[in-house]
Amino acid sequence: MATIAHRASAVRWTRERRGRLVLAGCAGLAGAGFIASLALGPVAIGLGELLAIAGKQVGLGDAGAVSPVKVGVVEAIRAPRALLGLAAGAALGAAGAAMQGFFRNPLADPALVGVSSGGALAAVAMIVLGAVALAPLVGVFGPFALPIVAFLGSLATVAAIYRISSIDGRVIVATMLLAGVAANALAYSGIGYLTFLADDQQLRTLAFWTLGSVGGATWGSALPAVALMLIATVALQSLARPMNCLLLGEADARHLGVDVEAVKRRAAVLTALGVGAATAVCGIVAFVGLVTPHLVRLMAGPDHRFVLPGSAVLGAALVLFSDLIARLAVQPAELPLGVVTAAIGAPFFFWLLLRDKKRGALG
Amino acid sequence: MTLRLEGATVRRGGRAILDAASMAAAVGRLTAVCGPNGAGKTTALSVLAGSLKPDGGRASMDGAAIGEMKSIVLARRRAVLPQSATLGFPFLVHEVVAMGRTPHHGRTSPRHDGEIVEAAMAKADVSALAERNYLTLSGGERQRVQLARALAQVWDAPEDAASRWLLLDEPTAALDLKHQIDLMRLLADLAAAGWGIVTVLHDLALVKAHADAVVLFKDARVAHTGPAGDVLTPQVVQTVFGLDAPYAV
Repeated sequence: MATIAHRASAVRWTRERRGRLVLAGCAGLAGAGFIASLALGPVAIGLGELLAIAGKQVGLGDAGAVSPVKVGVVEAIRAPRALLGLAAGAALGAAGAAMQGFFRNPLADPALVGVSSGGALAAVAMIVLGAVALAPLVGVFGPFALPIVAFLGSLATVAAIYRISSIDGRVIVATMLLAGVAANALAYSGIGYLTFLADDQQLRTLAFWTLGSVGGATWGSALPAVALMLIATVALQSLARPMNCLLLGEADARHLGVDVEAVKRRAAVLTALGVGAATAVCGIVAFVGLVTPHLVRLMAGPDHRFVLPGSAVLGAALVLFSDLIARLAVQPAELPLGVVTAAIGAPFFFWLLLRDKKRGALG
Repeated sequence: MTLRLEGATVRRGGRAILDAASMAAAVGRLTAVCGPNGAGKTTALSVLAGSLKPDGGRASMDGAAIGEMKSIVLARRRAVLPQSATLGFPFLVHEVVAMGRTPHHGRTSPRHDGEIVEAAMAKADVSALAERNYLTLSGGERQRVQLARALAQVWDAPEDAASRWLLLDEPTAALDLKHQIDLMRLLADLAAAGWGIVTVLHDLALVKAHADAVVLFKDARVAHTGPAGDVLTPQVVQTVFGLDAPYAV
């Protein structure tokens, strides 16, 4: 028994150590992306200057040596943008991991199955019709109104897609993807119609919905959504163990004492909250939720105790670096963020399809 | 200490697929559930497992209604081996087995859980596969891994639990002859060690050789129960399975 015990702990240690290493590596990458987002741009800001500005924020010393322009650029423009990118990436990554677990299918992604566009449609409706139809909501929820409306749009979509594509708790992959195509078409037609109704000023706000962007973030516009995204991301982590059991099948998860309905409900609500809040301020940022869980699984295995947090931190890194590319590639102009993530994610999706075709695993 | 069906009825589409079925399985015995296809065996097992609520009657464990037990309490003392599991993600074998410890999370130490996972893998003869990707295994190997997972789940029932149960649905279906015999011996050993074992089985020769008791289903009802040697007479086998002539097992 002693040797068995020894081997058991040795086995577990290598797996857990690898998982922790992957988490630490992804977190380091996200941290690097965050700092680079603050430092790089038309006005380059050195690490020492960033430290001085950060020091001023927490009341240590003052940033007197740094030019006021640079302080302003970091505090008013780059910091809210980087924070928004961080939170949106984390929320989309964790939501992607949760959806793939919830649908028990590695091809699920919030944008592919229409959860993002459902949220975007709701948010666009609020922007265009907001003054008339949705004014009471703003009265009640204040700055949270837009992310909450998008959340409801996302929630309605995820519930509809699950209903349509599942039989007795088993999800038919092809139906899920086709239902996503239909949901996306419907949402985009709605967005198109609302764009047609919109006035010129609203049009400029709408332009970025379909392409995605973390540009133009201000503290006031970003913070409410960032709070909701972080709540969703953190709360999703508690579903790791039951989600592992759910991968065995719903009946087996029940035999293991998992309250399957409650887990699915919480996963759906938290996914919609994270994706809806992200969409409300960033528009549709596609493929982050598809790519990151796969990369984490390739590195750390399919255990949700690593996939969920790993997808959150890697998603944050992916969005931060994609936004850097978007900002720096065609200076002084800027690419939409969604264009960059789609350019990375769509080929990845093709690769997944080809890989699964070879395995014959697509059914 | 018994697991019982007490007049359990399950209806689907107006038809009873389990019709007022009553049976009892005792701790320390290997109870086989047999009968023709569609006779209600799997339904009966699902009701005993607590995963299917009967439309009439009830299932009970040591006298307590299973429908009223908390699922986590039930999961700590009753494991189920399904006919086939549908795991589509590349977990390693020891990770799959460790999922069996989920209902004990927070109750037992990770080190203790690790020891149980190793012991359960050894019992199910999958220790050599511990580091393999579950998706690359054959059907029979997967079945033994799922068995190890079920064993790990009820390996150490809580102190306040009077009994622990292993329910299996055709566990020998994907196994070669040696592993069929090994499995039946393992189940008999576990029963002798005080576990309650209820298994659906098609192979009456295996039942006769290893099971202590047999419950025969026919047309959604319990037709016969008793010690395997007494129940499985050529005449009973003929009637229950609808054969042309008496059939000696």
